[in-house]
Amino acid sequence: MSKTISIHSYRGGTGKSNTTANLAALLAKTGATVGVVDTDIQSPGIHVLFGLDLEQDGIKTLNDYLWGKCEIDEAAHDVTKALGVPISGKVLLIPSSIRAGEIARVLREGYDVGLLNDGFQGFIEKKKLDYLLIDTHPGLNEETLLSIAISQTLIIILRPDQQDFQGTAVTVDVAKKLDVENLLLVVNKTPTQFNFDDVQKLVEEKYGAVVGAVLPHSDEVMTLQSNGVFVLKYPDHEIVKKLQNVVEKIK
Amino acid sequence: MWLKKLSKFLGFSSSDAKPEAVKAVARPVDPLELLMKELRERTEDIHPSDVITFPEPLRSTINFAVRLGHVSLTELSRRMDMDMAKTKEIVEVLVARHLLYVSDKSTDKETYYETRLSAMTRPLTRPKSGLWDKLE
Repeated sequence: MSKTISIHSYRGGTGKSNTTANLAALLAKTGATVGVVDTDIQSPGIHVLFGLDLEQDGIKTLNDYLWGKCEIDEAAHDVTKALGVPISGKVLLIPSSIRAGEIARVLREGYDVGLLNDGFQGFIEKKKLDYLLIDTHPGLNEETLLSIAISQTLIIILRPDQQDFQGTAVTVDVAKKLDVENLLLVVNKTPTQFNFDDVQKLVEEKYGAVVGAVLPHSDEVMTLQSNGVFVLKYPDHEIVKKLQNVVEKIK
Repeated sequence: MWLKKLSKFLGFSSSDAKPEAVKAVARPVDPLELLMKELRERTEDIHPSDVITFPEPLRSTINFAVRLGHVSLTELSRRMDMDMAKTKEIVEVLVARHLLYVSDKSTDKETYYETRLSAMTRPLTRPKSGLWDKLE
């Protein structure tokens, strides 16, 4: 049976898309077929990490599906080869459009989030996914609530920052109201001078939830500039080992 | 004075009348009944944000059913710890508000439902100017 995992954060810039891409790659390395949906329609970006060129003519996106221009599986693109290393599994990405007109149309007209739900189910069934990873828009709205409501696992990314701490408390509360079975927190961009064990203990006590990983602020991640998936470019980095721990908790 | 007269006419003392009146006012309102009344009266479908505010045991039951994608009437009754008649009463409202759909798999012995949370992200009307075509 397929597992649905939402990757969310209360605020933007936490590293949600990077974490999603890294987890997708690690899961695919185990031989799994992994679907990734970029539901951050207002500010999409995960396609860059997978090297998918959305400027190509005729390339279908989540927007096309939501407006009835194509079936959900037509918007799914196999990005496994673009990862640049041999992988036994598969990564299929449904990107969101980066055309200004299409983003503006979503903002102006909106869409029925029920279609997203149908799309997720269709994607799982048609592509026989082992895992569906949903890269969400930051903050709480009907789309993110739907993603959380249908997910078995919710990963909330936060930085060790007072604004993130407060907002994450709201998200954790909502996740508990939606009875998420497996709630994991990932503390990202942690200054290396912090004691990571202390950070983990503090966050676990504050939210009453499991911390999957405390990831350091990394110059290597910044230097990569979204030009590839980090865990594949730096397979021996300490971040990879910590993310592997998250993968074990998802499986 | 009029209260004393009325109480005497109805066959109980005035001291009895006051507590009875207080009891009637203070009768606790069942949050589930209140929600059902609200859902019957409104025309909008049930949104993901609505579920968060649902009272127990409905909230956790809906969360379970939505995550699974389908559920039987018997399972709903068991999870809400209610008899079938009361469960069906609630389910009919959820069907009317398009959270549950009667499944083709239903039989004479069991009714199955499929779940579908819905909501428009922006409940706005479409622009008339063909703006999006021009931008595309």
